[in-house]
Amino acid sequence: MKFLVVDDSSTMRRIVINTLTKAGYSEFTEAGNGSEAVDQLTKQPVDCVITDWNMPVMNGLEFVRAMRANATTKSVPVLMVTTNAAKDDILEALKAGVNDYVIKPFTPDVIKAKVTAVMSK
Amino acid sequence: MSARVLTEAPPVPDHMVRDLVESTREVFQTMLFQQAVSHPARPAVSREPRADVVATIHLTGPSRAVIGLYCSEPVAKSMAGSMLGLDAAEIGDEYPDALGELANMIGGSFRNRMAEGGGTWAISVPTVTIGTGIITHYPTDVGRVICPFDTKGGELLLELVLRR
Repeated sequence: MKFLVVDDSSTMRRIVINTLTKAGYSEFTEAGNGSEAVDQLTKQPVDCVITDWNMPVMNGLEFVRAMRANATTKSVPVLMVTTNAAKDDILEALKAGVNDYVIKPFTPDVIKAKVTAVMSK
Repeated sequence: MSARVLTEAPPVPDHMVRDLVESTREVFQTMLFQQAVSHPARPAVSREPRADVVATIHLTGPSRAVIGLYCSEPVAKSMAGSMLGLDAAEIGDEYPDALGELANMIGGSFRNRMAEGGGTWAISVPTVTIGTGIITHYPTDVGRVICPFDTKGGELLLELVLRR
């Protein structure tokens, strides 16, 4: 199973990858913003996307909308990891096509459970 | 020059100080897998805090606030190591990004707690400044409070600056 981890913070990408590696996953690609992530997806398919919201160039919502508008990526599960916790923010993300939502800070158990949940849908 | 307490400014409300302390503890427990032991908050005085690494994040809503994280480079590397699952000795150029993310998570958690009391709060991107004995100056009409913490790697000071 291959993941694309999208965050402008290399630290947060590493935290997510470390957490999922401990959960038994081993294939990852990374992108620093939504535009880089779109480029990555055109080169190689992935099974799940984990993305931040607030990023330069192309933010997480714009990226997810672009994914959902593309026939080859419209069904790929997306988990959004962000500090935005307002109810309106969560609704906006779900409307854009995010499958589930993790609010930072998070425990490893939460992100593992959310990944399992979005992959099983 | 002797330190001078900034008495012109309105004090920072206790509930905001509590929320900042709780946000910091939460982030350390969940993302750094360690306890941040808090000590009593104190009013900021002029020309302090002074540090080698300063991470700041700004919030705008019913009030305007700045959260600053102040520490030495070894403490910054220790915290980065805890976030990345590495020893502090293995940390090189990664620590500014890690400190920015730490400020982002503490600021985000604080913002979410503030939003529970009403109003919409926006948060800026974090900035990290590295140097020697850095002092951050603010206008005298802002409220400022320092929240000291003991972390695994040493002392971390959080400053909350508030203009209402």
